[in-house]
Amino acid sequence: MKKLLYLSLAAACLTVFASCSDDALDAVNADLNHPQTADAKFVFADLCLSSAFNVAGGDFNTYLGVAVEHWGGCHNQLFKADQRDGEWISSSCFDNAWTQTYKAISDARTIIAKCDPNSGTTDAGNTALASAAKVLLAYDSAVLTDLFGDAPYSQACDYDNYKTPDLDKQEDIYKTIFTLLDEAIAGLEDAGSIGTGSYDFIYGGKADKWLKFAYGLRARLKMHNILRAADKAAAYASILSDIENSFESAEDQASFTQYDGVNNLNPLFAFWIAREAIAASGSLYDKLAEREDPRLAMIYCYPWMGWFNPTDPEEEFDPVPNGEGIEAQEWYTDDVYLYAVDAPTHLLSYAELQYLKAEVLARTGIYTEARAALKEALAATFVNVNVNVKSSCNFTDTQGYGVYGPNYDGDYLTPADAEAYAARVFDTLDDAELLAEIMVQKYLFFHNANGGSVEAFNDVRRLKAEGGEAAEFIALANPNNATKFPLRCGYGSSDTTTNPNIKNAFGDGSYVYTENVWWAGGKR
Amino acid sequence: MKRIKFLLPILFLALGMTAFAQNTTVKGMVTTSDGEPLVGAYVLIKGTTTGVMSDMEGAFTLTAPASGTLVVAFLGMQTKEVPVAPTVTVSLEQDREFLKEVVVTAMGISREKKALGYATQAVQSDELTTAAATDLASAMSGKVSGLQIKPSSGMPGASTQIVIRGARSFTGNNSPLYVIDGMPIASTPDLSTDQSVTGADYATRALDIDPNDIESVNILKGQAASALYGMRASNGVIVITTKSGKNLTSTRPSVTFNSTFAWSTLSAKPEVQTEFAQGSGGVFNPNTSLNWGPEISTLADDPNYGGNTANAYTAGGTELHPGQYYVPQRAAAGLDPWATPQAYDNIGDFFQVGFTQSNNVSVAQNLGRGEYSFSLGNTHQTGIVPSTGMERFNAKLNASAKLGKYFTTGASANFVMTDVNKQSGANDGITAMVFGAPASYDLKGIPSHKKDHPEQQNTYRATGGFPAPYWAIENNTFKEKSQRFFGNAYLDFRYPFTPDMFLDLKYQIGDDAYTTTYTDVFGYGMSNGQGEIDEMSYTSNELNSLFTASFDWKITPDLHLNILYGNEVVYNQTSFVDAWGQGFNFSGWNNLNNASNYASSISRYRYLSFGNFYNIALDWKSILYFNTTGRYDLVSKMPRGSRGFFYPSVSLGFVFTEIEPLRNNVLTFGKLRASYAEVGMAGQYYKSFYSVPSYGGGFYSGSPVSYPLNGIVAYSPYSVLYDENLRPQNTRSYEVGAELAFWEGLVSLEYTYSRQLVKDQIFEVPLAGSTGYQYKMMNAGSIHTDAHELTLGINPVRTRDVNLNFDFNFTKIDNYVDELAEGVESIYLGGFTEPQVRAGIGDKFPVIYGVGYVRDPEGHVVVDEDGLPEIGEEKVIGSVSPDFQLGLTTSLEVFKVRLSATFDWKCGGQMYCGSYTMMDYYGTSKRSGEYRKMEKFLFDEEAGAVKRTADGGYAPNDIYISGSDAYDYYDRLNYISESFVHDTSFLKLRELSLSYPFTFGKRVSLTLSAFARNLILWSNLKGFDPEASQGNNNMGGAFERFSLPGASSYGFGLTLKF
Repeated sequence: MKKLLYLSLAAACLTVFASCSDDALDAVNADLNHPQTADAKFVFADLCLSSAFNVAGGDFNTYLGVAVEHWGGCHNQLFKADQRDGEWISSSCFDNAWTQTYKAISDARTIIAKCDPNSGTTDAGNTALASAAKVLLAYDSAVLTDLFGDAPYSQACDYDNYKTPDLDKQEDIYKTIFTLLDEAIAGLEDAGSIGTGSYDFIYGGKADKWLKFAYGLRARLKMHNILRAADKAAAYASILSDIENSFESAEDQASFTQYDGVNNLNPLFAFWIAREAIAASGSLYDKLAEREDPRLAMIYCYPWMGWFNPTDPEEEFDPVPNGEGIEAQEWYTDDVYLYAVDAPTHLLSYAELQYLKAEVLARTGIYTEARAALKEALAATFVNVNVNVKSSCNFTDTQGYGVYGPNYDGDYLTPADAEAYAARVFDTLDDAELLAEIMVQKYLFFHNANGGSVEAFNDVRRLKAEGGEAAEFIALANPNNATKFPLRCGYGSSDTTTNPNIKNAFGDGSYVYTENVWWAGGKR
Repeated sequence: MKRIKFLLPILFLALGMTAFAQNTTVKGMVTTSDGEPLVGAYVLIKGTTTGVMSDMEGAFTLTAPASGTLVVAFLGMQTKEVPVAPTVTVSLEQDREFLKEVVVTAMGISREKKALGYATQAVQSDELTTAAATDLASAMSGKVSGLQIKPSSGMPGASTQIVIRGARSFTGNNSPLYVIDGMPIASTPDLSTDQSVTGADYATRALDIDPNDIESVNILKGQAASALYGMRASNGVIVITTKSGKNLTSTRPSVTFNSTFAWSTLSAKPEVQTEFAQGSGGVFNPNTSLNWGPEISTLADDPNYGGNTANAYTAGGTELHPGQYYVPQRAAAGLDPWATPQAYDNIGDFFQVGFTQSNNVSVAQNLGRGEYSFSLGNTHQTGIVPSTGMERFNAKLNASAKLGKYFTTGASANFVMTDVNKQSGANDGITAMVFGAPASYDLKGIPSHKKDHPEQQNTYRATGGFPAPYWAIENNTFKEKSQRFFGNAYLDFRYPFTPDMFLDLKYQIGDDAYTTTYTDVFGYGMSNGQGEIDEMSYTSNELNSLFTASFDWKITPDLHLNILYGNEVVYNQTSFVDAWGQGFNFSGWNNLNNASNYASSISRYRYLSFGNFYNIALDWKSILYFNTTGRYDLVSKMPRGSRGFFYPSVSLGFVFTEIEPLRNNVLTFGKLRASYAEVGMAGQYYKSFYSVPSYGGGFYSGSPVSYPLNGIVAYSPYSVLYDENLRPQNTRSYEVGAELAFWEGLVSLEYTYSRQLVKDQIFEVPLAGSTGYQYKMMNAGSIHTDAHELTLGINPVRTRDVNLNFDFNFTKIDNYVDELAEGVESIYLGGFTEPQVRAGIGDKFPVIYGVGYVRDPEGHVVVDEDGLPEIGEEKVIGSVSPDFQLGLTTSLEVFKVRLSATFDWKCGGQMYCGSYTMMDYYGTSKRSGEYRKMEKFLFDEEAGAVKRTADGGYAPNDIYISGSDAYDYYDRLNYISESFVHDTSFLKLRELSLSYPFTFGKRVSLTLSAFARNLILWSNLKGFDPEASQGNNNMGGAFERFSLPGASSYGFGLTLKF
């Protein structure tokens, strides 16, 4: 019928030789394929996914995993990253992640605007949803500034007013982030639901969980800024207080668990299966071996082949010698986390908060509680290892490859293993050595398939910036670090090519090796 | 052509007015030189307006003064004068030059070429089919000036782009409009290859045209020529006239059967080293992509895999296999794992001999009061890459009939079925593991999958990205199937008010409808995953209504006026249905119905445009020809307020040799011409919208996550903004030219200079990621083109038995980007994150952008302390456009034996040559083998690199690289995209053909021919076809990386006519 209408329209226009009205032409040109807008929950769903897949688990995590030696680069871009050959100083290196992070920030702001009481949309007045969006906005904004330092922020994602956004100081971005979290906490205090149902991929719409996430995130971010804190004691106290208000168990953690391992893949796995560009890290192995860590038996395999325990002298164990490897795929020993096809992405985990708690307690001299927190963190870590290892088995099982664990159907690491390990490793430590061990254990926890490397990178930089002994807590082996440890990520090429502010700030890109971000004592 | 027929009597009628006395009845007959009756010839009494037309038998009767003279004329024949007699038989000779003189310009208007104030160029049927090219674009290569024809590969059905006088759009369409028998048809690809670094090519819809059906092609190069077609013609027009019965001079049916057979091979084969085995650092490694291992002859002594040594495979030396070595892939495939070391010709083994067979039969007849032409064609092709091929069926019927005195009606119908089977390039490139195959590895002999696991690839390196080639041809398929109808019907009313004045009204309605289905399959096991399938269907229907009214008035014998008014309505509807699936449940059935995850989408588009146009032509004394056109277009796809636009053109031709004092015997024809035109191009405007976000690209293969995600679908603001103030982009062009003929056409020369200024281009302007968006569809940027076109024809020998011809076509197109959007210095056209193809300000369009060398202030490459070039920043590292192109078509005819050749010389222009340079890095190229055997060498010795000195200056590089470090050298180059950029100048023998017509009696002729196509005579890019590249869009010809290769072909043909 419509077709007939348009045909007769065409015929009518032909016969009268006159121009058609704009209304008629608007009708012809109507966008038949897309909606002009959508309710906030549809945007929120993607904000959850993109914050997990792109921001937490994507290219940042892959590259920074090489920087912190969670794995070694053995092919193409990641090999170059390991060799510090190009990559870090190239604006194309992080461009995808840069653009994706801003897209997430933009979507979060869109949701908040839709939820504004005066927005005139169906979402007007949904403060709880706006608050949850603020938590994710704070999360994405923090990753942005942690990794890029000064960055477009107040002028960002406002194209109508700012075509080439100027940079904000990291200090100012952090002020906004803490304001967002304060508002989110206020907005979530008494809310039951954020009104999204299952469109909330992280918490299924439960406002109390978002509230805990907001507290936990605030604790993490306060710690990032600890070197700049005017009153450290107060800061430590408020961190502990936030942790108390945060996750009570791993059940509460902010984790994206929607990957099914077939059609929706864990981002580390999706990277690795497409590129096979990373393999086991030499220095990570050394740390585990030094502790006779039970994880050693769980986390290594030959590429696509048998699983093994590298402490067995019969086995041919060959991790990437950090920064000194050769470029070869399926040559080095693999890290089984790379096969973790459906492992979740953690935005913030229970274990991390326990490590953070242990660190703050140790720093404030409350060693007994620090040890307890560390034990709790380790127990949570071992559970997390099991989740990842099982995920690897799921993949290799369905694909018919031979990567099976020693104890396929059971739990790999038991609570008893954690107890024994703690007794052996922590309890023998002097109080003075405890902080270092906490940081190493946290670093080992962050070696996972859950996007841990970004926060590990923040820890490494924070400890380096702190200086003294702390700088050496997490020993890295890459000899290139003497001159080329990446202190940050380089701005994305979509801005260096179109935005003079960023082009000037980027220069030749070598600043990534020389300039710390503000919270690590730098200027920008 | 029709119009000319009616102009002719008027010309003759005007020859004079003489009184006459005694009359006699003349009964006569008009025939061709072969004695065939000539239908519809004009017979006029000289000096009068009286005349008749010959009938179905060629006969005529008229009454004429006994002492008078009859003038007998027929289109395409030399006019003859005979004295009046009771019976006359007039036999007319064919006018060989005639067809070249009259051209079909815009909107079906036929004009004498000398009347045009702008450049056009015609290619005739025999020039197109001489070497049996299966697509029109290839058939025209080297034969027209001002055109750049960019093939993508030698695969059957491979996309080829034609760009006339450079680009007008950065990211949009730059292809000319194709008009067949008066109706525009779709000729561009349905689907873009976008970044062009994954998957297979998509054919253009110009592939549906069978060159055998074409009578002539006329290329309207400039905007002045094409302005009447409006917006769609800003890229020039290719006006195609198909074969019809109109020009037949007899009433009996004419049957032509044409058949060709051709065999094709790799047009260039890279030279490989055959000494060194797979591995790195001189150590054998059976799983690496590198070929920097030990000498092949030593493999039996390898400590880990050798049969002569104690290792895991020889049970610690207790089970030696003397002279052999252990090949894990042979073991995985279930073969005897022990092999004797040797070098294999993996490239030669993989490519096969392609075969093309083409048949076309046509029947045409002139029935006097009408005519028809019917043809059937089939082209069957298999490519040099196994599993590739093309099958095409064409059917065509043209007919017209004269209805009484004033009306003519006619119709044309075409049906085409085109199937293409392709393979993938670049990141999934099937040739990656062919060109990269270690000489030591038996690529063909070792099964490409593991024993009992057809889905598990088994090859010499990891299969996370590139597929094992023999596995890929079995498991990955890329198919296109298209079915198409296009045709039109018309009614023409032609009314003479007086012999000097008539009106012609014509209404034509046509439709171009087709559906193409695309199936792209990466089989279960691709990239070690469970496969992926994309089933796409593209349906397009375009209705074209065209009304023209033409008024023609010979005001005085010296002044001739023609006014045309027209109205064109185009209504286009397309739909694109995309059903995507991934994760096949089980292997062996790579079918959408076996996918474990589905996504589907539909996209519908509508487009409506109205054009009103005029053309006024005023000719004075065959000396001055003035023409002006104007067109007002109103289109639906622009925002309110910017939908209507008017474009004018004016042109003037001045035939100075018609001026009496300038007439001479040397310069027998001389014309100067000039024109100015404006043509617009519309963009596609939408209100900014939301869409379902997609994940993929970057490091990922396929879509790592996708919606619906566990039953949830998300929407977010689309990454592209649309400017509400979008204006049509405008091309202004100036053109001047000269056409000269010396010694009656012994030498003919045509030169055109044109300048195009394109402002307000519409494209997706890249936005800073920090804006939250990626692009904005808006007006920005300008580009200008200076084009020089020169055609030179020399016919030094022109006797009855010997004819020698040279036709040169020179093209120099300088296409510069003057301006982009504010803050934007370059825009991405395709390629990887790095390197890419871009349009950059101040650069010739397009350029290659990527990591360059570090250079000193004088431009010398700076090397580091090891003598290796330093890795520089990203910048423009290559310019794609050639300095010039020169085509030469030459033919020699000696006693009907005809030898013809077309040469094509491309001078200058660069390409990112991925395969060429990666072969060095992999260590498979002959070059790499030679370098590693050298004692030492210097980086880029000829150009003279520099090293850094202690004082911060530079000194000539004297740091030698040891041959044993050759890998480090190529490894470093692998980081520097600039090292991949090479000059792609070439000289090709496009076509060579030899033919001889045998005649059997008066009516039957059989022409036998032998031909060869696309022979590379010389190229800077040894071992590769410099025209093979990625992409069917504006990045075409700029970027090669494991692209499908070029092909040369050889064959013979026969044409039987009776």
